[in-house]
Amino acid sequence: MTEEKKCPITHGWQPYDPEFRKDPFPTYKEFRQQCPVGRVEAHDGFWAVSRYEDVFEVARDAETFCSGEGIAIPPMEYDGRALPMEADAPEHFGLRHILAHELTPRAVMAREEMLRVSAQKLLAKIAEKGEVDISEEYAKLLPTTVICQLLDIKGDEAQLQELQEWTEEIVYERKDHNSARQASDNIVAFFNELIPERRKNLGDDFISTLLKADVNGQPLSDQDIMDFCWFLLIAGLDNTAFTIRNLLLQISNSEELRKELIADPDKISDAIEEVLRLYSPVWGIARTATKDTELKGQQIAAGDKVMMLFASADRDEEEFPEPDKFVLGRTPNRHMAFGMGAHRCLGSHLARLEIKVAVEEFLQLFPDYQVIGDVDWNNMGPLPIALSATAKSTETA
Amino acid sequence: MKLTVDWDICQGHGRCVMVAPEFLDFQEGEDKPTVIVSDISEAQKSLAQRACRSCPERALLLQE
Repeated sequence: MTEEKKCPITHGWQPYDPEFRKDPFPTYKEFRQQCPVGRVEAHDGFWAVSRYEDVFEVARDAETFCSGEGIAIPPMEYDGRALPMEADAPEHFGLRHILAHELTPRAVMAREEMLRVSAQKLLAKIAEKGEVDISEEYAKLLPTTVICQLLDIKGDEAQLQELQEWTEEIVYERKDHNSARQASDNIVAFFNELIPERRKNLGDDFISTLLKADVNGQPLSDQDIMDFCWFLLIAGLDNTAFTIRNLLLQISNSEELRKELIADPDKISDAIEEVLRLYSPVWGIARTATKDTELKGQQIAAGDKVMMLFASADRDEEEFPEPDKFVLGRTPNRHMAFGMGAHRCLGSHLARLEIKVAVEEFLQLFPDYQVIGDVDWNNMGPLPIALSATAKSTETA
Repeated sequence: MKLTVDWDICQGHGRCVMVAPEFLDFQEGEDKPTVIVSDISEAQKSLAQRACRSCPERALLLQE
């Protein structure tokens, strides 16, 4: 049985190997072409699903592929559940809908002014400098500011930065278990202090919504509320930051794109979709098979872990012609950067609007910004820029 | 002109609602948007077309 499952391409794959992470796309391509549903030995064994059609199928079949056994491989350094993501039907439906109405397109659009003001405040500080790391000082800080407003978390910039660093430790720096555990514990401690305070002073923020929630006549347990808060922070910060960073990098690399977006800011939405497709921030999410099943001829046993590789599916040549190319206005663009099916990202509308506002405001103030030096794609690293072409020429002179 | 959705194809991305909240919205507890205005006038045509173009699945259609 083991023999049958073995695929030479996926077998020894180490998903968190820093070398692989630098440019995972050639490897994903090999997976898709040679081992679209391949067994991986690492992390107690799992299946890597890399083609668009198969990821789509797994994502849409929540009965066969459940989330309640955990959605990360290896599990995140947290003893609770990432809610509502790690819940299954029928519980999942009730939990998801507690916050769903806060995150509909209409509800999100009502917050556009808040997003704009948040972006403008950050940019006003940045404008005083000639050269700045916009990864740290903008791409990461804007989503942090926004989520803190939604959760009514008050804090100065240093405190917000600390929250952001904790989430980055958990999501991106998965090689060091101890620091991820510490970061996760810090988030729990933070909310352990905040939640009882909020219970005494309910408002209209998301935490209050959770505290007031009623699911089939029952309030949420304290653990459920913690699980929601923990995951809201994890989900709301880094993926949005990652995409703002990538789009600003993409624009800086193409004068043609820059010109088009400045001439017609409506096209920023298309640019966002394409950058989400090319660099899907959540590269993979796991499911657990609830029964014996088959996928692309592979026998998947009940209890097996299955990893949906969104970042691979979103570059599948069968779905996207010239998949490695940035095509502004690509249509159709059915990328799965926000997942698919019952668990599709609840915050997608907020994320899209945040990214749009971030880039619109940025381009308006600094239309000719330039990235300085060689920077890494597809990660959360620094993005040093000169705010204007003049500043850069002074720098290099 | 009529704005219609092919419900077998729609995956509930919601991009159309972001583009044209005048015509589409999510109802409480629904994962797919509802067409709230389906009769599209000549003046509304370009917005409706933009909403259709935004659909990743091409499930939203504007028919003469």
